[in-house]
Amino acid sequence: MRDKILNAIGMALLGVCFAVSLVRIAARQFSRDEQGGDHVTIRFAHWQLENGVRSTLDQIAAEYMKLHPGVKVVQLPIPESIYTNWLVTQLVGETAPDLIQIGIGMTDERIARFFLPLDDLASNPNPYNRGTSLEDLPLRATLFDGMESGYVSTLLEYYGVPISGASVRMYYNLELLEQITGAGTPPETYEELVSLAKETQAYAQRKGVPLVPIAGSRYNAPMIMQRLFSSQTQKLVERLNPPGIFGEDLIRRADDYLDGRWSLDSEEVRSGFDLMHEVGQYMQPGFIQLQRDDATLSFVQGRALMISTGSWDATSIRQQASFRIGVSTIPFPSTESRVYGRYLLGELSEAGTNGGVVFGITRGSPQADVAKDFLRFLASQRMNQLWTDESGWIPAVVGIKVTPDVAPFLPVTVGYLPGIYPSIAAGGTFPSLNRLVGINLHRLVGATGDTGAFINAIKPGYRDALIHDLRRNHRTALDISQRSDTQFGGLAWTALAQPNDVKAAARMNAFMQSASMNDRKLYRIRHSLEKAEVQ
Amino acid sequence: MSNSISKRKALHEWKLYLFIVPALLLLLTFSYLPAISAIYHSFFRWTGGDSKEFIGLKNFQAALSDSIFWDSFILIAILVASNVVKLVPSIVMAVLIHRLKSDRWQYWYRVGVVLPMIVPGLVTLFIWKFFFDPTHGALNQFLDISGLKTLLVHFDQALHLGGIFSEGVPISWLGEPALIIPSLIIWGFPWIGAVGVLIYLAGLQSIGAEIYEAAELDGANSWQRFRFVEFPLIMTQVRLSLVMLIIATLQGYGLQFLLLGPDGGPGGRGMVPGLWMFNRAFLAGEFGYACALGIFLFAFILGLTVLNNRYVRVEK
Repeated sequence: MRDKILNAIGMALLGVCFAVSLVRIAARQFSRDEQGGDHVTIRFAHWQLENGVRSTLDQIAAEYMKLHPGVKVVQLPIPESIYTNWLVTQLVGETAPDLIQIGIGMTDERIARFFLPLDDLASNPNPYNRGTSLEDLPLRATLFDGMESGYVSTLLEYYGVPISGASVRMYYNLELLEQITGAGTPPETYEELVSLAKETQAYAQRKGVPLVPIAGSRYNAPMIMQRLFSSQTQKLVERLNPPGIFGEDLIRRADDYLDGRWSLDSEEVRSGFDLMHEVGQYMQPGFIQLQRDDATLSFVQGRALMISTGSWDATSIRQQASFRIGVSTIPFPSTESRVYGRYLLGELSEAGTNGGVVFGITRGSPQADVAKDFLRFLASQRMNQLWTDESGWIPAVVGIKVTPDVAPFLPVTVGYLPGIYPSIAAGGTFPSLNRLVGINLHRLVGATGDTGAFINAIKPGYRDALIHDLRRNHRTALDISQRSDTQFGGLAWTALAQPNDVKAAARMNAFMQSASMNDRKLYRIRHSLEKAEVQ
Repeated sequence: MSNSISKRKALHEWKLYLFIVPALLLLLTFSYLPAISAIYHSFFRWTGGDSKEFIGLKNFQAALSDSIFWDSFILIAILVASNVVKLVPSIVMAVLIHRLKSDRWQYWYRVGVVLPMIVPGLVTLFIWKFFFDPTHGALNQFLDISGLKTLLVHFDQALHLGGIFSEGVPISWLGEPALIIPSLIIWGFPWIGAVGVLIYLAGLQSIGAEIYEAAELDGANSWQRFRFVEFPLIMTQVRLSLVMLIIATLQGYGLQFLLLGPDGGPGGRGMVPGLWMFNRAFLAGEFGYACALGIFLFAFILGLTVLNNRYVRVEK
C-alpha cells in the first residue's frame, strides 16, 4: 500500500513537472507569435558580459519601453567563447534575434547575406537627438568614428551602428606601484616598463611574495605583444607601401610577403619577435595556458602589478579590486632606444580607432522598423550619456561628457600608424596564419623560448597558411560577387524599365560601385594567388 | 538466436506498433536527419546557410591529405589506451561495493558514487582547469609540498627533457606541448566514473549466489573469485563500457576545447578529430569540409565498434 502511494506521488510529481514545462514552452512560443498583435517584442544579442553593461542596456531598454509602451525589448547576453557558434547557428537556422552585435565570427559574406544595409539610417538625422546640438546632423556624423565601424568597405554599405568606443590600456595596481618604486608614476616608455618589471621581480623575491610584473593570458598577452611587434614594423610598412598610400592594407601585405618583399627573417620582424619574447618573460610562467579571467583574477588579487586589457574591462576590474587603479597607454619603445628605436616611427595614434559594440539588424527580423528605431534610440546622445555614465565605457556619440575614470581611455589622436602583426592581421582575416603563430607561441615566450626557434618553427608553414587564407578570402569575395548578380539584374531591370526614376538609377549606381569594390578585392587576391602558384 | 514468427502473427496486434511511432519520429528527427544532412552537405562547398556549391568528392580528397586531421588520431589512440586503463578503478570500486556485507553501507557507497553526477560536467572541467593552473593550481602545489617536483626535475635532467620541469619555475601543464597529453590523461583522477560503477554493479549483482558458493567450495580466494568468477561474468558490461568509451573518446572534444582552446593548445598537441571538425566549421567557416571529416569519423567509429563486437568476446 505504502509503495503504491509513493509511486502515485512520484508519478503525480512527474506529471506536474511535465505539464509546467509544457505550459512554459508553449507560453514562450505564444509570446513570440504575438508579434503581429498589439505587443511587439524585439530581441538584441551581444557578448559584452562585463560588469555594468547588461544593467545599463536594461536601463536603456526600460527607457525605450517607457516611451513605446507597445514594445518589449529583450536582452540576450551570450558568452564570448560560444558567440561564433551561437551566431552561426542562429543565422543559418533563421532564429536570429532582431539586433545582433557585429564583430566576432562575422564575415563579409555573412553580413551581406544576413544583415540589412543601414544606409538610410546613417544618412538621416536621429529623431532621438531632437533638442540637442546634433538634431540636424545625419546619424553617422553624430558618432566619433563617422560610423566607420559599421561600414563594410567591400560591400560599400553601412551594416551596423556603434554605441561605444574601445581602447587598450595598461592598468596598474597603484598601491603596489608606490610600495615598489616609492612613487605612483607609471612608466612612459617601454624601457621604463622593463625597468619597472625588473624592480617588481626583485621586490617579489625580496619580500617572498607571489607577484609578477604583468598578468598574462592568451587573451591579454597578445594585446601588448601585438602592439610592441607592430612598433617594429612601422618603418617596414612605410617602405612597402607605394608613395601616397598610408596605413595597412592586408591583401597588399600578403602579396608583399609572397613576392619576397618582406619575410620572417627581415630585421624588423625579428626585432618585433624579440620584443614579444622579452615582454613575455615578465608575465607569469605558463601564461599561454591561461584565459582572460585567470589574468584578471591575478591582477585584482594583487598577484600582478600590471595587466594590459581593454577599456571594456575597466568597470569589472574597478569593482573587483580592493586597491586604487592607474591607467595609461601601453608603453611604446622610445625612438632613442639603441635596441628597438631603429625600426619605429613613434607612438601610435588612435585617431583612426573605430567604435565598438556595433549592432546590426538581421534580415529575418519580423519587425525591422522597430529594431531600427531602437537602434536610433541606443545611438542617441541622451542614451549614450547614460551608457558611459553607468557602464563606464567610452561613448560613441560626440559631445558626451566623460567621468575622470573614463577619460584615460579616450583615443590618443596624435601619433603614427601601426605596422603589421605577426600573423599580418589580428582577427579572422587570416585564420590559418593566426593558428600557426598561436600554436607555436610557446617557442617564443615560454621559459625556454627563443626568437630563432620560433621563426624556424613557423617559417615552413607560413607561406602555405597564407595562401590557404588568401584562397578563403578569394572564395568569400567570389561568393559575394556571385550573390550580387541576381540583385544587380533586378536593379538594372528596374532602372531600365523606369528610366525617369532617379532613385532606381541611384540605387543601381551605388550597387555597381559596391560590386566593383568587391570585384577589385577579388581580382587582387586572384592576382596574388596566380603569382604565388607560378613561383 | 531469436525465434522467427509468421507475418500474420506479427501483424495480428498491429496497433501496438503505433506506440513506437513517437519514439521513432523523434529518433528520425534528432538523430538520423542531422546525420543524413551531414552526408549530403559533405559533397558541397558549404559555409553554412542557404548557398552551397556541389563539388563532388573534393572535401573527401582534401580530408585524405589533411595531416592535422589524421595526426589527431594518434592522440585518440593514446587517449583510448589510457581510458581503457582508467576503466580499472571503476571496476575495482564496483567489486568493493558489491562485496560489502552491509546492505546499508552498500547503499551509501552507491549514493556517494552517484552524487558527483549531479555536478554539471562543465563545472568539473573548470575545476580541473584550475587544478592545472601553473601558479595557483592544486596539482603544482601538491607536487611542491610532497617534494615530487624535485623528483620530476631530476627526471628531466636525467632524460634531457629540455627543462620541462625546473626548480623555481611552476610547471605549465597546458602551456608546454610535451605535458599536454599527460595532462589529458591525468584529468579526472581517480577515474571512478559513476555510470561505469553502476553498470558493473548491475552486472555483479546478477551473478547468482550458487556460483559464489561453488567458488568457495573450490577454495577460491578473493583475487581468484574476481579473476575467474566476477570479471568474466561482467565482460558484457565491460564490452559495453569499451564501446561507449571508444565512441566518446573519438567524438568528444569539450575537454580539449575548454582546457586548450579551439587550436588544440601549444603545438596543437591537444587536437582531436572532433575539435578539428569544430575548428573547420566554426572558425574557418568550412561546414561542408567539416561534414566530410565527420563522415570519416563515423566510418572509423563504426569500424572500431564492429571490431570490438567481434573480438572482445563474452564467454557465457
